[in-house]
Amino acid sequence: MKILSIREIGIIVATIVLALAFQMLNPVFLTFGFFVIVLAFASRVGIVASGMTLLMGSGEFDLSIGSVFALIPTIAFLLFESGVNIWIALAGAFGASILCGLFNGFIVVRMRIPSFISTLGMMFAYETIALILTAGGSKESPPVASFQWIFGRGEAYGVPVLVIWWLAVTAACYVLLGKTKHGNWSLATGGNREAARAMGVNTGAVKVKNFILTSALAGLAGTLYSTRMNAVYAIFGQGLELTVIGAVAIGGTSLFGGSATILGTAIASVLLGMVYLGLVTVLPSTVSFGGIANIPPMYLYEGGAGAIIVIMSLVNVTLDRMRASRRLS
Amino acid sequence: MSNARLLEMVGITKSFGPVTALQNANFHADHKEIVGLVGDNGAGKSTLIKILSGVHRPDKGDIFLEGTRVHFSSPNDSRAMGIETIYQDLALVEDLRIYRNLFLAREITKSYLGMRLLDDKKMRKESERAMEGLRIPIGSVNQVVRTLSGGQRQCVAVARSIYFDSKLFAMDEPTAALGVAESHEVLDLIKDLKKRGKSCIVITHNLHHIFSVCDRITVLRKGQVVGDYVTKDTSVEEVEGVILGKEMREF
Repeated sequence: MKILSIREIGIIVATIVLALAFQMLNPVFLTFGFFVIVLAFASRVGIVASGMTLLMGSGEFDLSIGSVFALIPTIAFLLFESGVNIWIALAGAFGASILCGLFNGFIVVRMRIPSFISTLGMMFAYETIALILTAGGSKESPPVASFQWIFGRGEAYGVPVLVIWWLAVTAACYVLLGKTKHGNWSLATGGNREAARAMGVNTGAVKVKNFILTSALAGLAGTLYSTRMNAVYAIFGQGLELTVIGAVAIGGTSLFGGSATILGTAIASVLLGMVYLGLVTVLPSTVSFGGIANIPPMYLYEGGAGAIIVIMSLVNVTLDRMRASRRLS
Repeated sequence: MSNARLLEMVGITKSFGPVTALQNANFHADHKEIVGLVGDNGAGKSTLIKILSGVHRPDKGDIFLEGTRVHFSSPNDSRAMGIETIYQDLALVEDLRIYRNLFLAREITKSYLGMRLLDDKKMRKESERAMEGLRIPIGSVNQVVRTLSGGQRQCVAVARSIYFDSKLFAMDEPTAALGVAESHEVLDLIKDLKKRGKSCIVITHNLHHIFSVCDRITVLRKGQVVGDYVTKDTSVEEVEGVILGKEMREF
């Protein structure tokens, strides 16, 4: 039973099973044209989740990413509106995303406030800034063709540029986590902070870097998504933080730090994309619950994602127990 | 200063808020010497080791290595001078593979397209080499540390220190949490270190272990050094009495 030793085995099997199930209900599901839409949806979660995987690997998490997701494009679009060149506006917004991460990291590492509560506070703070900047309304994506192509609307060989960004970010984070000092130090910090520190790892710096990475990716994903949607408004990342943490967790990354997998996170993002598009395409245009309510199936997505998160957690825990008992015997 | 002592700590004082952990403590270790550091809980043994390893900075006092005064502001400084500390909890990360632990914070890298990436192959090979001479069989260096026994973990920690060619080993409770057979393996490991020309400071509560490996024994009580004995000129009873603070004169 060597297959048990592949840590992503649970999520891989679940994804295949679900894909086949949706395929049987709707034969379009596994066509290229359709699956690309699944991947585009997965990108929204997956880009941020890649950074969150390193952050959670190092023992922290970030609840403010949904707000940063909206704040960063807001800043970019606003700067452009006020007459700044689009690329400079983008660089400014990128800088702002780094500041957000730096600030999150500073509160957690220096002030020693647990990340759960500090980033919860920052979630409201960043959202409020975005609300003020948009005056409670929306901001349009700058109508610059090259910018719009690169940051969200372009396509190459039928693949949305969003998906290409996601694949690139995933590959980069895969190398960063598995093949660099920073990756090794992140897992050491999350696994045993005292030991890592005793060996000479600057655990505070490691965490701050991961907060910055996560914020920067949230800003990137927000910019891509709002350009694709053609506008940004302050609350359009609401709830994203929990979907992202859910994806990272069901992919096989520990909630307590020390072990993490980018591959698992990427597959989990696809799984969540499949749940959304699967429900939308397989179910009729309105779903009736015993005649009580007629609702569009997209409203069922969160319920579906929730069920997947709980089921996958159970699967992962069971697999861990099986691995542990195998080790003892 | 070739005949200077390997390590000399003079007048070390350290307080944590209102608690004085060490008061004017003097301590030394010679070349190729195994020194036992004993004392009751809270006597200041671990604080002394943490000062030596650069985790804590002393409020007062000086540290000399082979006659030269040194300052440690981080564990990296101390390690760079050839002092390797093996902690009670072994400072191993359970979730990491053995070879990744061995090279933690000192990873071997290789350049790919201008990026410095970890050279896992080389680290694996070097880890195997570092553990070859040790008596405790480990198996694959690809395993995560979580799967290892206490003695095997000790062995990984020692292999790490040997690989980086340290002169002085400080071991905090190396035999705590180990069974009888494993404890003996670790004691043999310490004797091996001496044969390789290394010096070693051993902290333990187990006086029998101290007496079986140490050349000299230093006793701490309430943050002060209260005794320093050559092992062959003293007895378990005498050292025990000093640890507990009993006056032995009446005997």
